[in-house]
Amino acid sequence: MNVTDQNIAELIESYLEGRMSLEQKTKFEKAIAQNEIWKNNLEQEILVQKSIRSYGQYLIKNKIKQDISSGKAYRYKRWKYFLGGVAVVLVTSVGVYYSGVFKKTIKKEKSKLARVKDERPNVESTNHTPSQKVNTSEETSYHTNKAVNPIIKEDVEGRRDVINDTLMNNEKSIEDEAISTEVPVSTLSPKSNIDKEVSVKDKVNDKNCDDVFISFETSESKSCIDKKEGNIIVYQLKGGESPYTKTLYQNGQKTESFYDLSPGQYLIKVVDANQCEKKKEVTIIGKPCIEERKFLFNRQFQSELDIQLDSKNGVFILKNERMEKVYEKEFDGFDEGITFDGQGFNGDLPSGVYYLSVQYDDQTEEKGYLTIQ
Amino acid sequence: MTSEDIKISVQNGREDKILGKLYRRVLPKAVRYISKNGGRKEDAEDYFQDAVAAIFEYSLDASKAKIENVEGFAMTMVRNRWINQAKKNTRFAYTNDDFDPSVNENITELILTEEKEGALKIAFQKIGDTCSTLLNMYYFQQLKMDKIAELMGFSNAKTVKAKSYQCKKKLAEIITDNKYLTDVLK
Repeated sequence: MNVTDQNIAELIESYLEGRMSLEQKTKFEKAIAQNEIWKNNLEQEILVQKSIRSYGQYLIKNKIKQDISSGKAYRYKRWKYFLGGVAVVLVTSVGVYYSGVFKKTIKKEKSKLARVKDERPNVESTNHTPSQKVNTSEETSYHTNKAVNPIIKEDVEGRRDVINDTLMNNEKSIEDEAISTEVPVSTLSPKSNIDKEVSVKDKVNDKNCDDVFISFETSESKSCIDKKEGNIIVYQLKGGESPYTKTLYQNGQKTESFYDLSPGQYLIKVVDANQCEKKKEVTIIGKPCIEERKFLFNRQFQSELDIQLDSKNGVFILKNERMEKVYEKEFDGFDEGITFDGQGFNGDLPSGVYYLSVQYDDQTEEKGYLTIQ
Repeated sequence: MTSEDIKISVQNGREDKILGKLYRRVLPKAVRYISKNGGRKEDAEDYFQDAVAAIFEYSLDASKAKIENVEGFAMTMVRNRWINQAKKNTRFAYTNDDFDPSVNENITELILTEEKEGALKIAFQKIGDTCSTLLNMYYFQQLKMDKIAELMGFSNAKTVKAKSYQCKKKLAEIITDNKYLTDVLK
């Protein structure tokens, strides 16, 4: 493994991702220690990767914050209480219902008994044996308090079991709500700024789509007017069955991709494996983009170049074609610009095109090119 | 629940499952503990958010040791932070609980400061939504390039690799060109 300017970026990635053998790692570390630029590259890569991971952490934190403020984080518990409440109401209702039935039954049986009692002289007057009389009373006693209770109790408990099962299932479905997501898209993607749902028409094929609720989120970036710089990201696809097909249309015409889009209205169509579909209209907003600033410094005709800047504090930077910083000058609001004399960090800057960047302290910036002849 | 469970869930876009468990098992305890000790519900929620987000970041780092009991760990982080805060601030009541030193200080250091959050917002706003999502998917969620291509509508993994390189370069320029960002994000 030879460390060169050409493969350094790739090797740094392998090194940081732990894809190097011990021998490769030692060799790489030795090479890095001897080259200041490579060492800086490595430090920069570590900083960038660390920032990306911190950003992921920031998105997670924001998601939790949203879940807490929307009450979703407490919903699991509330659902438990709610379902518990429902269960109590149901059990009580069942109890009340059966106690009503029970009372009615007792009343009925009492009147039946009274009737039997009233009729007894007639019965006795007939030639029934005593055993037959006992049978009659046994038949009646089946419906008395002691005998009825276990049946009702068993019945109520039976219902209670059903209720408990329902509770458990409901709880499970709440818990697993997010698990049903078919596509492993993070919920951490930036939220869409404008998306208008225009149609939720489901197409019926083999499967009835009436009960299929496909949903997805979108995120759109702006584009400079007259340029194709907009992007649309579809994420958090849920419902239906994977695989999904995503298609984008503009004015009824299918676009080539979801990237490099001009400002305007677009229609996203997502179709699942059963041909159930969901459409959503989104807008790529057009923004006026500041023209890149271009300067020419011709050594033959000028010794200095006045570059006008906004009356704010900031820093003016020039980078060469390898994006290495070759010039930097801080300025304040009173300067209203800088005077460039063609000198970089290491003396006269060679002829060529330089990338220009002006960063103001209020976080706004300007970009452009400076050509030295 | 272990840190490995968190890693797998995030890689499968199912972090909601893990968060749901933590909302149910840790958040009520954290609120109860802090309220009982003179703090507000909001304090408990803030500490909970910070602890869970830091545990997520820790869990996704392959070089870090495994956490066997994430729920217990998160609760200890909340408790430790409250004890530290209570010592500094008279608004909070002191607690008789002991500070638990078993919680790895490396995780506590991962808790995002407001300043760092501000710097991250600036840097990632500048690289745009596409780059932010792509870099997040690759470096935080650790999804494979071909999966990212499928999810983001790129033609193949190669395109994702090229785009990710551009995005990372853009981010590097933004961070290194701004001393404030470099210092805060270091």
